[in-house]
Amino acid sequence: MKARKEYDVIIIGGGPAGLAAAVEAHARGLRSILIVERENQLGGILLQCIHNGFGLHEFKEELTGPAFAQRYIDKVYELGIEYLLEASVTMLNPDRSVMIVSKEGFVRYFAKAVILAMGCQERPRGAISIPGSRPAGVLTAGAAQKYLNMDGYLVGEKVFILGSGDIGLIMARRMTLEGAKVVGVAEIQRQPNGITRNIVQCLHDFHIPLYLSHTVTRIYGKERIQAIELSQVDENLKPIEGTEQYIEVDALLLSIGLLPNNSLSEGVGIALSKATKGPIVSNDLQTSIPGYFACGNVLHVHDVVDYVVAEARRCVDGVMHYLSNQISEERHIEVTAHTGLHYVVPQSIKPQTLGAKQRFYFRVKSPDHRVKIQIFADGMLIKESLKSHVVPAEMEYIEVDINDAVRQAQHITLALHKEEA
Amino acid sequence: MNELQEVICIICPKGCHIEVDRRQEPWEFSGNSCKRGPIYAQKELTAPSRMLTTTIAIKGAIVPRLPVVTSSDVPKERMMDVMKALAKTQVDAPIKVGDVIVSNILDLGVDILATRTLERISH
Amino acid sequence: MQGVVGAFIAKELSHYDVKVLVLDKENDFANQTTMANSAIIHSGYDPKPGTLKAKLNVQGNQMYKDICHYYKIPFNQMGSLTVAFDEAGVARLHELKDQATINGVEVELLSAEEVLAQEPAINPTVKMALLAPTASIVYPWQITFALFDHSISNGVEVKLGQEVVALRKAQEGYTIETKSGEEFQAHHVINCAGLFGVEIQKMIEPTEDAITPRKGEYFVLTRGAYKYVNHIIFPLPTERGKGVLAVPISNREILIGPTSEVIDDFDDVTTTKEGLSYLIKEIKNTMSTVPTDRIIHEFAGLRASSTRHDFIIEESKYNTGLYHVIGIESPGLASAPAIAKYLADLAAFEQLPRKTNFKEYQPTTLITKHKQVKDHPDYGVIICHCEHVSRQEIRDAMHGNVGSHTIKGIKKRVRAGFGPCQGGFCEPTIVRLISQEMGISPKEVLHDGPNSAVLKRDSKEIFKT
Repeated sequence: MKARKEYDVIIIGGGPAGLAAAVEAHARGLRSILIVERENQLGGILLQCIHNGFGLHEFKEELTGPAFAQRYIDKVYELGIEYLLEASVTMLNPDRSVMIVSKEGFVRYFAKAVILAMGCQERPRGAISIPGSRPAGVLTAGAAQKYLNMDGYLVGEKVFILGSGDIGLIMARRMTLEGAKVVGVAEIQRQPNGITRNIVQCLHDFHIPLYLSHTVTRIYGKERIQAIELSQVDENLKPIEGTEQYIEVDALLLSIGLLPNNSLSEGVGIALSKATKGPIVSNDLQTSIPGYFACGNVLHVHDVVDYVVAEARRCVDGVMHYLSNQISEERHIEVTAHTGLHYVVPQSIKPQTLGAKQRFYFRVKSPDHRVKIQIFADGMLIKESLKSHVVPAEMEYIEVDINDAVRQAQHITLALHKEEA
Repeated sequence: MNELQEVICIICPKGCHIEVDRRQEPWEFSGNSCKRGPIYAQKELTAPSRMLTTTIAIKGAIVPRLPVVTSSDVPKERMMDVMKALAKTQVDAPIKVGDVIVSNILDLGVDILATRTLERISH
Repeated sequence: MQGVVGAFIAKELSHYDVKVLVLDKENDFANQTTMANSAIIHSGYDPKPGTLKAKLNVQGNQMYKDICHYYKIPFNQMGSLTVAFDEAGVARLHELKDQATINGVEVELLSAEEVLAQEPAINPTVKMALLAPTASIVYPWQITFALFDHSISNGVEVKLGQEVVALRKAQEGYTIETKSGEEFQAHHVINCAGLFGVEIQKMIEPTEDAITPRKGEYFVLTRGAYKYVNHIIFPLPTERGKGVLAVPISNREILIGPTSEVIDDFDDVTTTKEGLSYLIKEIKNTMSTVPTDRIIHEFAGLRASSTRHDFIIEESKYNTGLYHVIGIESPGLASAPAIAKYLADLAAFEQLPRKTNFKEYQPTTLITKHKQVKDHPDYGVIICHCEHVSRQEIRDAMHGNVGSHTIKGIKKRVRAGFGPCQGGFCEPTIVRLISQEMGISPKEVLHDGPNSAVLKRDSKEIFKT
């Protein structure tokens, strides 16, 4: 009879969130930890993000993605934390047992707590409905990045990029440096979606035009893409007739957004937020199914990996609290995002697990400057914070001192308040 | 040389558009919202430089490419030269993060460093 | 012929001791109409009584269950609901019920309450529905692969990537010339060239028939779009076709479509802005919500619509031994096995000598996945995480009678890349796997056709010269 495979914590995903959670769980005294990684190496998507700029918060230095991941990978090795590679979770069960398929076959693993750290995926072409044919050479920026940075191949020589998210911008530079011609980047919104540094260093440095308020309205080519039609859009993001340009390309990269990877979470019945597309969590980062926790891009898409690992540590806080003191019925105070805000995480707080301070993470709906982010407890203003500049591309947070007003509230709301000119 | 120039500051997410007036010494800066802006703009207009990340071929590892980074900034206009110089560079696994792959590339006083550890795999 | 109708005909012929050659311009099986349709085995109440369509649809429907069982192909007899939302529609459903009786198809009228109890995602203003319990779903390409696999095991020869450019009468039988310059001799020719059937016919004889491509655009909603869609959902059919359907093609995905637009370009499988908005507008009449944020894929397929508005299955009026199987539009998939039988009778296959050593089909045995992993650990290494496809399954797809080593070919065979990420994660791994398995450079790996290489250059290649 085989021994029952049982762990205190099973962490699904060996990217930065999963690795950081494992290291933290070890630091907090847990010794029965298992990381389940579906690829043949630890590190996750960071391994293909070879550009630098990672680690300023965590390590006070600028690292490349692989170097950032390496710090955690080395720590996992050093601490002797168990991990499985080429192991794919096929199903989660409400009893926190996890079906894993690997070279060992199908095996059921049991856990006292499960941390979801599956990351996110890129929205495919189908998500935005670009009319035209379906030739080779249309792929997500991340897939092109993997081909280039890990396998050493360019997917095209004359490339157009749709979407000005950071991956798209970074790929514009990478492909140019490696010998491709990037003929342009289009962004349907009026402002770029990536950070200024990338606009300057990935586009301006190489004289790559950025077409704001533009989108790709048709794909041409039977077997391999031959051209795109680029159109300007109006204020409702609808293409304007007569503005079409025909641009010859042999590859189109899509950088049109990321979606938390929650097929498994949905399968077990974990409630997801319509706004974040990630699990709805309370301040301990526990999901709607007890014992299931979430952190990193599976919870909500982050733009800075340093915030991912910080969130992973907070997640382990929640796990430790859960393991030591399994309270089944706790009062939840609902937290909701109002005017001007796209979402807030966590979506609820539990008075008994609150520390002295609580951070609320949010994204704004549209770019703005000189705004106040206000937090209300049952309609009463408890904190406000002035932000000189906000954009949807950057996740922000606001920290609140936990006092009795908060603990006794029924409802916490966050809202953006525009300063009068 | 253009006497009036605009530089987009990248020091913080705000991305100030800084106007630089170079008609007199010292240059005059406007449009910045903090004092880091002029320092950045001055550097960007006199000696722009960048960190460069790329990959080089590696044999005997789990992947055929090793990510590398310059040990410090290289002059912006020399980036392509560094890429060309690395086109034929190839290493054998194992490689450790931080290993110097090429030292003092093109006499720029900059090394090329590995940014991940790649073990040697059998077969 | 490489489609599902051709597959059934090839299989029919493989029972006889004759030399059979299959030619097609496509470089994979099931690559045209068979790849892009609604995947439905219609029950047969809809075609006009007395037509070939009505007869063969009903017969074909009855044959599928056993065929899928024999080939170990998933067959989901979920039934269809044709829904009416007003009094005129209710009257029409009653007429359709009578037509079903004439065609010999079992149907039942359901009240609004009964419909909503079974299909909570339907627009609650529904008045009545016609349930046809025998309507079913298969993946048309799966059945096509199995039939060709079986036929090839029994001696049928297939040459793909061979476009027929000339068909001539020879001293005895016919000469067929392909674009590559090769010539083939045959006593009998079966023209089952789908959209290009009339074009082939015109190479040798005059005809008054014409094929018009009718384009159907679709989109796919990924898992979780609706809590339940238990049946194939039809609106009431119109003169343009069967309307915009919701088809639960698996427990994970729902197909919405098709549009129905007559076009003149036989190659035009592009999707359009108008098509998609039409689909969304139309499906909103049937379903309570349309979760457009769950769309993961769009595609278009062409149906070969004949000017006779019925299937054309006949021997040439001018050339003996030349048979035309053309104009096979909807319900072509449902009718395909019966079409092959009909042709067999027409062309008197029974008079041919029967093979004495006909081999029964040996489907790849799926004992249990656990056992397979024990012997071949790579069955346990998942490459496509959305659809849980293993490394060994992908390798298997490259080999055998109907193996393919294109990205699309593998996707059709084992579903790698069909899921929510649409290959974003697994495609680079599959390219590497194909290159290793077939001993070719990754740059030679194709997406589909001969000019569809996925990769262009080595990194820094231009600096090396």
